[in-house]
Amino acid sequence: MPSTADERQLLDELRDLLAATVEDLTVEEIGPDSSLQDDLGVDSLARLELVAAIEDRWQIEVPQEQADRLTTVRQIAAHLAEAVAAPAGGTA
Amino acid sequence: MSIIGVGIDVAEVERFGAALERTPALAGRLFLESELLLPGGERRGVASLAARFAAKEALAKALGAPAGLLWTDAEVWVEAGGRPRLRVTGTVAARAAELGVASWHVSLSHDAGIASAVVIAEG
Repeated sequence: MPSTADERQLLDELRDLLAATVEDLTVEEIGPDSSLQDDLGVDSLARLELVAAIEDRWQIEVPQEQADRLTTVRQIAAHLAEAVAAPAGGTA
Repeated sequence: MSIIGVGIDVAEVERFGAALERTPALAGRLFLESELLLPGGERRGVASLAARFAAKEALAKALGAPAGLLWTDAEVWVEAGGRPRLRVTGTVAARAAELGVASWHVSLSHDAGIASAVVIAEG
């Protein structure tokens, strides 16, 4: 279960973004614990586009190594919750 | 000299172009400015960019596809005669050095809506 209201909201926004970014994917198909690769068919191009869209939408930077290690929708939402809450210019 | 790694990849040109159009920030994550432009300064076409994306995917495979490689730490550039070459820096150069890669070979192609690339890492 998502731990906070903010994280739940991020999860919902993330599902919308995923559906808008990944071809042939609907919001209804995206569960919080869906694996990007195994359940949603997110390949490397779709993953890259998703990360670029996240950076653009939330004005944050997702380092490539971190992006490579995020495998589920919930993991991305948790990362986003931390990144959005962090003060601008903070260190990793 | 010996072959340290080989990578191959394909990209659907139409899909790649749609992704770039939908998410313009993707281009900056994938390519250096020098790769986005032709020698004359015009924007490079989507089929050519898709082939370069395939080359970077193929390069990552040749290096064992470790996490954390920056896409912009690999550059596809073109010799005067038109032959594509690879230049690596930063995260990609570090991984290549770890494996003992001394030189790169790359071949690009696109036809029938598909762009493809083969990369050989030689040490």
